[in-house]
Amino acid sequence: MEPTAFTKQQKTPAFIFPSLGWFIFFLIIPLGIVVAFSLMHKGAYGQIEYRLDLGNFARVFEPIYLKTVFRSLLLAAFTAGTCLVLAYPLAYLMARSGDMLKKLILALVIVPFWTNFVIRIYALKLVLGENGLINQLLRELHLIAAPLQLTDNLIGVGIGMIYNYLPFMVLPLFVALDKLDFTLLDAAYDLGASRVQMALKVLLPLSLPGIVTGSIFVFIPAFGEFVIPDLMGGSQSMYVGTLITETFLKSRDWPFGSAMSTLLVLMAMVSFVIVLSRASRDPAAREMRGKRAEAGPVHV
Amino acid sequence: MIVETMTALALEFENVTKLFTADKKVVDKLSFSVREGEFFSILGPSGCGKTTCLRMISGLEKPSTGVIRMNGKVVNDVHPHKRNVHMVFQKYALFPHLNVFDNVAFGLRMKKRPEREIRDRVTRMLKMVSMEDYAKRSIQQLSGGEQQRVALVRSLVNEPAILLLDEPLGALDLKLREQMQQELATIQKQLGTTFIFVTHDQWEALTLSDRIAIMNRGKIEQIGTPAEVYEQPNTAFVSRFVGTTNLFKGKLIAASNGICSIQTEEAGLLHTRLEDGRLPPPEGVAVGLVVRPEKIRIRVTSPSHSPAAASAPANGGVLIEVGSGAAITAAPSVAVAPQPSINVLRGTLLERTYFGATTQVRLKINDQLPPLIALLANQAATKMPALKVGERYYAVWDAADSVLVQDA
Ligand SMILES: Nc1ncnc2c1ncn2[C@@H]1O[C@H](COP(=O)(O)OP(=O)(O)OP(=O)(O)O)[C@@H](O)[C@H]1O
Ligand SMILES: [Mg+2]
Repeated sequence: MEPTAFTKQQKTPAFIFPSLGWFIFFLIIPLGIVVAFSLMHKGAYGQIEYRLDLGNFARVFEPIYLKTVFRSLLLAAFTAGTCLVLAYPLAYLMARSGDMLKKLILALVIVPFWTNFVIRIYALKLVLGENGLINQLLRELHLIAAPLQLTDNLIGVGIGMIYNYLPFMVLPLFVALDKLDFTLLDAAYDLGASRVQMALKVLLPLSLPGIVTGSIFVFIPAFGEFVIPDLMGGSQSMYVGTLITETFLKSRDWPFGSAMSTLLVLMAMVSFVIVLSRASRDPAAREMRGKRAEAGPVHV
Repeated sequence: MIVETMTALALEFENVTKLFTADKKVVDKLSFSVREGEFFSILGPSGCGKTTCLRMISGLEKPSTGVIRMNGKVVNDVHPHKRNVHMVFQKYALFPHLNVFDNVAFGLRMKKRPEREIRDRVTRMLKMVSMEDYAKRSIQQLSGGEQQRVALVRSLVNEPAILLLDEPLGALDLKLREQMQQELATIQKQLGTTFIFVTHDQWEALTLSDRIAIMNRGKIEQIGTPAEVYEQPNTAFVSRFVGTTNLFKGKLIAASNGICSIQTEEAGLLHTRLEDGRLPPPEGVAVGLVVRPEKIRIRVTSPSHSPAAASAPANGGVLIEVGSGAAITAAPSVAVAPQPSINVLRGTLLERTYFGATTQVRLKINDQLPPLIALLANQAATKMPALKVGERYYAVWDAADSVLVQDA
């Protein structure tokens, strides 16, 4: 890339100091403290003793905790996968519809964010409850005799997770599909591709960046989620998020909780690095660069 | 309308109409045919329905009413994949995630051809457009002209019976466009494929095509060879759209011996000679008279004062005579032609633009008419006195060099 006035600039501009300060004080330092705690020893009364103890990390790999990690991974994967399957057609529809409809759907996707997250989950719990809207409706229609158990179990957790994370999948997919040139699909069809081939050979590879971004946006927070399993899952099973909260607040084992947190952050960072390194190779990024090159003079 | 010849018809449209919404006919009762191996252009302004025509030929759209035939067979309900027609899209529509080779190979891969055959055919095609060294390049690393070539062979590699080209050169700069026009013409001759070429660039259509259809608001106004549509436009629209033109509106008042006399409000009585065999429209009807800038000669003296000039050859040779000032001041502001075989108008020179081989002049006849445009071949300075802006001159052209058009 040609050096521009901005890339050439050596001096850090003053306007980034407030945000830099924010990051240092509220992110880097707390994270440093968590990492430091994770390497220390827990005293008999829950206090922190300032001596090195690598046992915290070793404990994370005990079967009971590994099982929890595995269960959380499963939940996160289920959430990301289901959201992807549900969000893709919606995002495609949005990208292909007219300006008005596009904006309307976009608004509908975003509107839930206007309400507090916990309130939304409680509302959902009511809707899904024994005397909730859904059960009442099904009974009115004589589709069921006894109410369905939709909350305080895995079904409730699943519904809650999908409900909450769907927008995080829809938005990146929409961004990817919205800038896609749909005459490429016509071109593929013209060259003899079937509908399935059009989807697999053109649509999928070109929307891959959106799929990856959306999956990361859903997977990582879903992996550490503790409110939804707590509120929607009853007291049935433990997830990483719940485990960490309880370790800190109930068992008051800060070093062990810190060790688990550190590993979670590490996992998140590793997946981001993978995505970022992919992004430099992905076709959409290349396309954007191509567009910029096109704007320049054409040499014969 | 079109004379049926022995050559097979690659494509026929019969009263094809297309509506997207109930109230607007995007394509309106279109009938035309394209011969096998022909370079056929559809020329028309933006939004007149050109792309819609191509999409109906390829099968991406279905006609609302009417019949489309290929090789004599009705194809209205034939699946697009079974038509053996391919399209070069308006902005190439190359796949950004595939390299040059894979783009060109796309169609053959969809047809599940053996990989060996694909390699041979793709390589041969890339060679044809001198792109064989670019096979592994990504699309973004290509210039506009190179992308154009890839888009062309991506379609041609599938050996279509008809290739549809939707303004393929529209995105290129002028020099590159001229170069690609030549390549396109060469490739078309070499392969003998029927080309249906859509453009809104008149010169492109004139230089490349065997025949041109001029479209306006979903209808075809005229079909003919480039010379026909340029020299004998049927309508005022065609004359305006193909080439630069001077148009006079008026009423037909007399027609005899092939000479039509038209009474115009702004320029008095003008004359035109009908092509042989063409019947004059009924007298009193509103018509237009069209004269191309290069048919107009500029004179200093009125032809009526100089019989030698009036008999000058009408082959575009420009004669300009330096006359006496007295003769000029004596002439009326709008001259009436002394005989019906020539037309004479008088006006003030507004502007003179030097083009090298030619000079374009604009002559103001009066306030009602747009300036008359004349294109003069440049000759040695001794033969050609300098024209002065602000001076008054005569514009002269032969009746046979102007054309009568409908719906003025
Ligand atoms: N799918 C569609 N639905 C509704 N209207 C359409 C559709 N496709 C085209 N049109 C309309 O039909 C008209 C003709 O469009 P078309 O694309 O054929 O024009 P064109 O001659 O190719 O123009 P251009 O030179 O700008 O490409 C336009 O008014 C356009 O808005
Ligand atoms: Mg078009």
